[in-house]
Amino acid sequence: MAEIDSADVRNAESTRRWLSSRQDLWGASANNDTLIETLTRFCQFAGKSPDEMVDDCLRPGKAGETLTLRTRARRQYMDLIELFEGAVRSRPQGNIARSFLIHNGIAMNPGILP
Amino acid sequence: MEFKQTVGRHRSSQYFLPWRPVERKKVQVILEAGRLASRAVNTAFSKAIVAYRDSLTAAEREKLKTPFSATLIDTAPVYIFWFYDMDARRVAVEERKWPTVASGALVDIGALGPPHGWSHRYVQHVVLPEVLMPGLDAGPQRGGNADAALAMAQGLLAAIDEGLAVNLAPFDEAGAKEVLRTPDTWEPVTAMFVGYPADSWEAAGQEPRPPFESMFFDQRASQPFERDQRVTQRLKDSGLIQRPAPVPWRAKEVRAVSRMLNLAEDEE
Repeated sequence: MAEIDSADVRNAESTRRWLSSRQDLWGASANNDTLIETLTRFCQFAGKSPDEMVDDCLRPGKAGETLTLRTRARRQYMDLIELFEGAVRSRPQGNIARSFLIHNGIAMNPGILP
Repeated sequence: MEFKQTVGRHRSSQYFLPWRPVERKKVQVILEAGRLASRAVNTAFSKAIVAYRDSLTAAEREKLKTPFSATLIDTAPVYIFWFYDMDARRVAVEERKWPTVASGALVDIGALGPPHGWSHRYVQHVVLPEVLMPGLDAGPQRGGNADAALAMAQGLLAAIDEGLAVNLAPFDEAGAKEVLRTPDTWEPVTAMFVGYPADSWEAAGQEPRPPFESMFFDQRASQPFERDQRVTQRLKDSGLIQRPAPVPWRAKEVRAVSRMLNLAEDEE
């Protein structure tokens, strides 16, 4: 798989959905570039594009627009984000990766206890 | 009234002053408290109908009676019939009219959000189809609902806080359907009889309960949650734990009140 760059990440449908939903909820972000940069690092860490990560976790349902959450894949991404967080030594960067998945419809509940 | 005292003053009141009406504003307080009770997915499972003894005919009152509630129906001036609306979940999902989880409003107002993993897409594409919609095809299902009961319990405490006497007792479902014209999708919870007490507010005393340690457990079901006696004493001081029934004068009080209300007396 080719190296994922920030342009690919920025143009992904799931990225646009994330930024739009995030802005609707919290207001405009001063620095989307930082968000894209961190998500790009996470995509590189995972070896997946943004859309592939979302598709891994949400399977199209039988009826119309419904989606089914794949709990095992969700769990794997939760673990992967924890590894990423450890690798970059930054909880905020881990939370950016979580935010991406959350706004795409994948509930992320990181552990908060030591 | 201080909260702990409100809880402590609860009695299942058996004697109401039949001639003293309950102010409408106090009835509203009861309903307002019920409306704000905790409820799953913020859905209005609880419904209630207020009825007034003196606005019903004798025949209508008979239809509502059960052996448990017959005297209460004759003496309490206000009845609040609480129901579980078995259709509430379907309405919340299909109409998305009120601020429920299904409507997405709880994400909008910040009650649920990304810190707990929630987003609009999660609600609309995952929670709705996977959690809220399955089972709707089966139609309304009987079997009670904790949230409907919780609304009633909150209303009950509000009634006590307003200085009223209350009693929860079952009512005749078929009779209620006929008299109150309730939808088929409303399952009875119980009736709340409301009025002013004919006996002293202390009534028989605080109603007996099994020992605390036989009801509550610590970490596993085999291990009782042991009371801290200092806490227990503080609750006695604040009125949550009160003198247990029976108070010494109760028999005389019951006889006097029964005579006053023309109730059945089984001794001279």
